[in-house]
Amino acid sequence: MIFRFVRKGRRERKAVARRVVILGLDGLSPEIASELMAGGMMPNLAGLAEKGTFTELGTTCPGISPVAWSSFQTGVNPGKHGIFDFLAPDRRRYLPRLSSVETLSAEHRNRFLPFLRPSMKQVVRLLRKSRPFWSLLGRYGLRSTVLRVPITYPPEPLDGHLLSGMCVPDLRGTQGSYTIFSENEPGAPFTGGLWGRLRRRGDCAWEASLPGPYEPGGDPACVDILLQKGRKGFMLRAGGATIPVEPGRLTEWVELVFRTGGAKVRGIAKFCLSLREGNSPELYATAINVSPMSPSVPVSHPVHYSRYLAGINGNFATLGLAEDTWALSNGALSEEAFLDQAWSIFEERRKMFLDALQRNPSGLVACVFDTSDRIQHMFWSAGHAQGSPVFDMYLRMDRLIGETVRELGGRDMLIVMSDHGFTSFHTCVDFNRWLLENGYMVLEEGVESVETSFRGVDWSGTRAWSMGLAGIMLNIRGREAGGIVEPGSEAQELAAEICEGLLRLTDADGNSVISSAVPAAEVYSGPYAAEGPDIIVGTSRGYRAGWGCVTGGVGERVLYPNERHWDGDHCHDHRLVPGVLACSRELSAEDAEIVDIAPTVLSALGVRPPSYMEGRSLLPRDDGGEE
Amino acid sequence: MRHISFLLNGFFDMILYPFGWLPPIWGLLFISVASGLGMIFVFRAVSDQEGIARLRRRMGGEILGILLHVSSPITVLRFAGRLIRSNTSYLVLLLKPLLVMAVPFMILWGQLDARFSSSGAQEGFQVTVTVQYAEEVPPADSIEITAEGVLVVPPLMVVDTLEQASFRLEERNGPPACITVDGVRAGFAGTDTRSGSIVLRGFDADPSPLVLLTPMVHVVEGSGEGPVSGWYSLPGKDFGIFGMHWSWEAVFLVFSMVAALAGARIMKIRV
Repeated sequence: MIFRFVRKGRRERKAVARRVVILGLDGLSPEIASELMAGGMMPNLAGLAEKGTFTELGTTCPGISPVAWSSFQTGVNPGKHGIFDFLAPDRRRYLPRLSSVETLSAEHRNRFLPFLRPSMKQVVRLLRKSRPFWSLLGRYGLRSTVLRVPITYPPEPLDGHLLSGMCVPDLRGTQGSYTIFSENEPGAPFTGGLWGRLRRRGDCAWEASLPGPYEPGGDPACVDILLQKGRKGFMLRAGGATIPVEPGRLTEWVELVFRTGGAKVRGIAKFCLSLREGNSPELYATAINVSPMSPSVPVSHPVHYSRYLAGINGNFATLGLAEDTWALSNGALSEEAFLDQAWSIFEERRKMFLDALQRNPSGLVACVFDTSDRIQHMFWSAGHAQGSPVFDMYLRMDRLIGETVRELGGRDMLIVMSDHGFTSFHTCVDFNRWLLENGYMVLEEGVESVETSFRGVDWSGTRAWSMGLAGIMLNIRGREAGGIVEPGSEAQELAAEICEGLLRLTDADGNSVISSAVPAAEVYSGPYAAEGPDIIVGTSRGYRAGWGCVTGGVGERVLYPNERHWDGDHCHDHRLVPGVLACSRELSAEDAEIVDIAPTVLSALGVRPPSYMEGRSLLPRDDGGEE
Repeated sequence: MRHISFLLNGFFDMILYPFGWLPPIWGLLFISVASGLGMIFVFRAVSDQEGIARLRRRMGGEILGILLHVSSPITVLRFAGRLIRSNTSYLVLLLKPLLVMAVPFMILWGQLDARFSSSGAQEGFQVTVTVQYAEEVPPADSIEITAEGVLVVPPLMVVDTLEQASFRLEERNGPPACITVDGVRAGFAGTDTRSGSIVLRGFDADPSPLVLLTPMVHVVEGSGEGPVSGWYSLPGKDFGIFGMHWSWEAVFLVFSMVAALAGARIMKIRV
């Protein structure tokens, strides 16, 4: 403590807040919030609006969570932090990869026992560039507690505590793959999960193997599970624990231990039993989350922080995208079970957020809640009338705001914000098909469509390709492995031509599908701007990049109906989906952008925002004066 | 109560019978390990395992909370307070299994104490016997003492104020089965030469429930004139393990604890 006191720098300006609390509600829509506030349904948010600030918050281009939250934490545009989408293109192999994290494997030999067989050691690297604003606060003796802010995995050191959010993998190394067990094989292949057979053992018992992390040899380490039907109902034995299982309800977290490469890897999972036709059991297991008590990969800084949270509040979801939207889309989870899962994750996070508020009387406390985003993705078409999941979600978020306000002291400043808003998603747009039909992409002879990863694309004749949710890349010579477009004027002319063509795209009713298409150079600036797409496409309300096209597929039609449960989205023209900004203080918030949050927080705590930050402080009369 | 005592003694005799012709340490080790394992299984059966696990995790979290918030003295104090509360709750959780195990443990302790704490009388060895009278001690020359194969060594001491009389016996032809003092007939030390058998260290004419916990005290039929109790000063016994002299209590506590912890580890029992 004395060391901290001695080394801390003098703040450069007068602090207007002793503590800044940021409550991030992913995807909260200003339109719906305003409507519910007007109807008196969100009194706590209305209270903030009355005494402080409530306005729209401009999001990034595109308005996608990893991009927007990266700009939130760094105060810069994607050209400076290098995150342009969930996926980034591997231009040498034309394959998608995760934009924010890189996992490498290296052979590791024991220094003291060199004769032992070397093991494979994983190295995880955060690909987000620039610096989060909380890393600056530590210099001035201001501690930060940062909970589940997206794109913070692997956790970077800071003066305080950090729990990583979006992009934390599961034990299989994926962004979340569930397992469904049944006696019979599923009729059709499905995405986002694995299938395992429930083997009957006697009349009233079934056994199965739950695959976990992959061994160096390539096979997954497994944990045996046993489902038994008794007089009192179903019991599940897994990982040394025996727990009751109620059909249709998720269990508590079950701790699982996998033995891989001579080491124990600990994970946690929840289960849900469904009884299908003929009372045939079907058992769902969530993605195997990294155990917060014994994390096999670091999910917090310091590493004990996740242990502390698990010790105080019990186990919690560590997976980046913990709400299992794939399972709901595929019918592995019912709507009730999905909501149960989403709200239990919300409750876990609420506890840790309130704990952080009580333990940190100064500095920064920031927490992001994803439940709002996931519920709107999955239940948007049900509307937000009273009784709908979206309506209930807005009310619960308002109660959370109320709880947070009650924890505030007189010198605290609360910022409630969302990274983007929401709108409908009823029609998929296959950009690759459009490129194909307009002569910008060529398929190999005999190939009519491509399922994924551009298998069957003739790169020697392809001038443009699309991957991800909002971008089109040009096949530039010297940059892409099989590039044919000359950089410079040829590329610029091609980009302009494609933009023009996309803006003319209409549906059968003559509605415009694309509301903006601009060369990336007009949007991004910074050292990493060239790593993003060459054209940024903003779709109109209701239209979004098609499911196959996102991962390098080429479908059969340019426009086709979105038949998935995922019927709300925000990956459109970013001007259509602004986020929410509410504050307990009055701010100069006209045309506020998400990049303004970092300089605002720094200024509020008496720290001059660094010159590389692009946003402005929203504090009124903030002239950047010295203390 | 005597019948229960008889059954308990028989039960322990039976358990230790296979070790009767081995040095006594083997029987003691066996019963220590077996009782350690037995206690841990009983603990699992009667304790709230979920509650203990939850509480232990919470206490771990509270300790980490102190370490993580060391720059905030108020938070540290709050965590310290919570830690004390959690420790109290932990002790409350342990109370039920401890109460359930208390009586069997005391019976076991008494049995082991009776069998392993003292050596029996040996030839040429003098044992002091002190007898207690209910009221006035009769004159020394009128106290009648008989015992087989034993020599009463004078003088016979009488302490009137304490209503006690003391005398010494010296072994001559092996241990006597019993002694008789003023008509009160009581078993004597070392009635059985096998290791692990009960070494009587006294007698009592007043049977109480506590007799279950003190099998080394022979319960006798009272006589109007004779002593109501008596005790024999026998030499203590120790056991050589790892080149050190261990009392039976040390052997029992160490080995039962090691066995219990090993059992808990293998069977994943939370303590």
